[in-house]
Amino acid sequence: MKFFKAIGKNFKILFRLKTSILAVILGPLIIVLLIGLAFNSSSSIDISIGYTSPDNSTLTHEFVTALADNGYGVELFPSKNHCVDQLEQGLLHTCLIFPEDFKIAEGTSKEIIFVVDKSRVNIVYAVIDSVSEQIGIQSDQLSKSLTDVLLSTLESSSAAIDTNLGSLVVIQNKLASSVSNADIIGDNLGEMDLDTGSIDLGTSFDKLHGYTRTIYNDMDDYDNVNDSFEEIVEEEYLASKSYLNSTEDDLANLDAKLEEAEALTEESQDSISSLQTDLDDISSDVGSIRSDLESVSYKINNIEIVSSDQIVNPITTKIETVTTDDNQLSILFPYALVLIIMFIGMLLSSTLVIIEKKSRATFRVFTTPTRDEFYLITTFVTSFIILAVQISLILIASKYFFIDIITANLGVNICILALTASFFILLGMAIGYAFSTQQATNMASISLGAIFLFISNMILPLETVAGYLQAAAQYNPYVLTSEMLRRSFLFTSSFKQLATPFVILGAYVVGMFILIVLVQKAAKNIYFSKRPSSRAKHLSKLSQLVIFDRKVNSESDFIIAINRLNEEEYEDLVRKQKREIKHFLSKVIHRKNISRKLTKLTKKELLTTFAQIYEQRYHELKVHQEKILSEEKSVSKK
Amino acid sequence: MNSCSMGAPILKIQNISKSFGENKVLDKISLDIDQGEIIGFIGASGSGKTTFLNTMIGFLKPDSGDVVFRLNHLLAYKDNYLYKSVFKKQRLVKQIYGFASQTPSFYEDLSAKENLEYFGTLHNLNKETIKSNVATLLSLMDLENSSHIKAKNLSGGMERRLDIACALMHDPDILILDEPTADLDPLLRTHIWDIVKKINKKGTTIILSSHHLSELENLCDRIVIIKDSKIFATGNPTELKKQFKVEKEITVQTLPGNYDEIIKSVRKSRTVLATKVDRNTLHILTSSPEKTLTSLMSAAKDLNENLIYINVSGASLDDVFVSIWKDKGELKK
Repeated sequence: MKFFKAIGKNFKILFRLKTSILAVILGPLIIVLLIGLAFNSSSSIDISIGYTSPDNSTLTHEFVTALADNGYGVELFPSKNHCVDQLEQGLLHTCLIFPEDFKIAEGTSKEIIFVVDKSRVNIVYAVIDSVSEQIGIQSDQLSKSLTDVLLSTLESSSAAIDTNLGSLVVIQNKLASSVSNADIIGDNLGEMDLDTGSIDLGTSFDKLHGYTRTIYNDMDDYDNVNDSFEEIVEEEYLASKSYLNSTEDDLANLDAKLEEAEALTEESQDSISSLQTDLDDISSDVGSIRSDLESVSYKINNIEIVSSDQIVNPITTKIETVTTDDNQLSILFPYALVLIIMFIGMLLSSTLVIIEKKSRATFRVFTTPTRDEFYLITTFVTSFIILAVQISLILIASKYFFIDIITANLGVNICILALTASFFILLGMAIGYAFSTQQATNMASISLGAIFLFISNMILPLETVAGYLQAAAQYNPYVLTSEMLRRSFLFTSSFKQLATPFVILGAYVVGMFILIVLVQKAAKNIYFSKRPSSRAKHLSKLSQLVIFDRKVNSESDFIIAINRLNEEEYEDLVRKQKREIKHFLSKVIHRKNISRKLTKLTKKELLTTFAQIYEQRYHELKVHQEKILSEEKSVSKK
Repeated sequence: MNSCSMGAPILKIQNISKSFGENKVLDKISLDIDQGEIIGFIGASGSGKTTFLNTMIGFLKPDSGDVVFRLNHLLAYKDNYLYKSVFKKQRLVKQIYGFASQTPSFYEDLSAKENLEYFGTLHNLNKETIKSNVATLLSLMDLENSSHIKAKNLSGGMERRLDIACALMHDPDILILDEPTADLDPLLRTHIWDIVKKINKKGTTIILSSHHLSELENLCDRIVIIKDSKIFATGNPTELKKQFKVEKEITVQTLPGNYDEIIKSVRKSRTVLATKVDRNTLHILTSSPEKTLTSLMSAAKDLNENLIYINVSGASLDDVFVSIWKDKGELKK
């Protein structure tokens, strides 16, 4: 029963407090709504890529087109410096530096340089992965293309070899036939008897010539020697005839041989003709084979990429960072510092405001002839000093123990930190003036800080949220200030480079101050526009005790009420209303000692205790009055 | 009047009306407050006393009417004073009054001395003046020994005195005390009123509200009774008591003390409002003491009761107050 009553009480309190309703019920709904709006986007990471290409080669163009086709924002920059500058400002996610004469060929550069900002820790690796993947796809396509060339060459070479293998078989057969023909020719030539040793046609012809000459000579001598002519001719004739017969034999022999030789020669000629044909065919086949081999050789020689490494990795990438410092702390430091400033600034200033607002002194403060803005400024300065000391301690500690990134761009850094602290302090003050309880301001500050944090790069990359929220998130104070600090810390950006965010932040600070002035005036009006009795209602409720239907507001009321009771009623009262009476005694009439002893005291003892106090008080009062009287007397005497 | 008036009123309340939503709290109230007087406001809880005090000094803007305060300038003489609206000259008017509200108003985590010094600074006092005023006020309020104690650790009476001290830190011409003795025991109340008198002796005008009417009776030069959002009556306590017919209390002791029979008899006179027997004493509240006394004497005689004590107490300011609000607010004027 008690348990459920307590739960019921909690619900009542919760639903009666507007701020609680806002924080407990509407808060999560708003956050869910924001998440829904933020991430209701089918797009993945919206990456902007800058690139430089000295000659804007076809391959570069292909790469860039492929990136653009895949949803990347692509922009050409005239130089690496221009691109890196935009990268440092956070306007780009990466810079791709394409080499000059970028093409896939032996001996040409094929390295693409990625320039990334590692200080954007939560996005840099996603960017590298995403763009590398795209470049990898392009590279794979190139690799495939190169392999296709190789395979195609191999295929055509294989076909040529297959074809030429047939030719070689034919050549082989033809060569065998040629060998056979050559054997025949050899045999024929071996068999051909052209030995004319026994046939001395020369001698025969010489002799014949001699006899013919003799005849001729004898004919000359005929006139002289007529009588012997007959004899001589006969003799010469016979001699010539013998020789002629011998020669005829020789010639017949020769003729036979020649006929045989002719036959052999004809046979050989056939063989030679066949051999010639075979050789012509072989020559033709060899020519064809040579042509094919030359074609294969040409194709093979025409393969530009022959290095296995280059075929496997036609394009290589190199990652460069715009920051020289690889220390994760230095990269995270700006975000962490702004985070600290945001939460401490808001909680501190809202607490200060609420302390002042809830202070019993509030009314008196309003009665003083001091401008309202004075309290704003003093609250602001108090918070600022505390925050400045905290930031200084953090920076000093970081300088000596971790990293020194503040001194490099000291002026800009201090201005950013001062404006950042100012903004969040003023925001906290606005929260403090807008809400009425410490719990509500704390919840509001933490919730607001969480929303700022959520719609920033700290938890999830902004690139993952919907486009319109992405644009709006750039004006998120946390994003704005942390980005400014990042650029100042890591890239030592100048006032000029940070002019726009400085103007926006300055406008925020001024706007927030005006807002606080208005909120403070509204809060003051609300304070006085409430009926004074309702202002005191809470206090009177707390300070009021009811004893047997009689309202007890003061010590005297309490004593009178107790005095009216008999001992039994008194004991019953103490038993039933112990907590209320103890609270009244200790908190309202400041009788802590009596409150502690309440349960041990009888009615008589309680009243006696009060009487003793009055006696003592009366004595003190009397002494005081006598003192004043004597002072007055001495003054009048003077 | 405890202190001399300066002639021209220091504050003029001119026909002010103020409502919270549909609830009209002040209805065309006009009043002049003289310098140096102690003026007390009485009214039932929620009658608008605090609203009236807050409006008087410009904290609350009335729906209509104005409150003007007297400027003490060099050319002022006789009745030729300049008056300015408290709503238009807030910073100036804040310099001439000090306000101690129902709830003591100071920083609980500062000591009494620190509080006084801080409020002195807010009132743009210089160091010497602050030092001097702090010493004077700590002495006046009997807080010297508690000056370094954190305000939250002070007793109820000390808190109240510190609050008044804070209100007096800039030595204002007008001190407004809203229920200054609420929640205090009788001795502390006496102490506070003593202090108020001392402050008034220095020429400070005191405007106060209290529900301890009998104490106002002895303190105030003038009493203003607020009822139904209007000033119902104003005057010094004696005038007010004369102005209203109020009951008187007859206290009787008889022997053997057969009070039940006596009561039966005196009630026949129809002037008896209430009776109460407390131990051996009979208390009779009557609207006509003469008739009731006659009836009482007659009854005593008839019942053979010997009168050993009889007293008729006069009307107090409390009686006036009660008489105005009794019978569901029907007036007995």
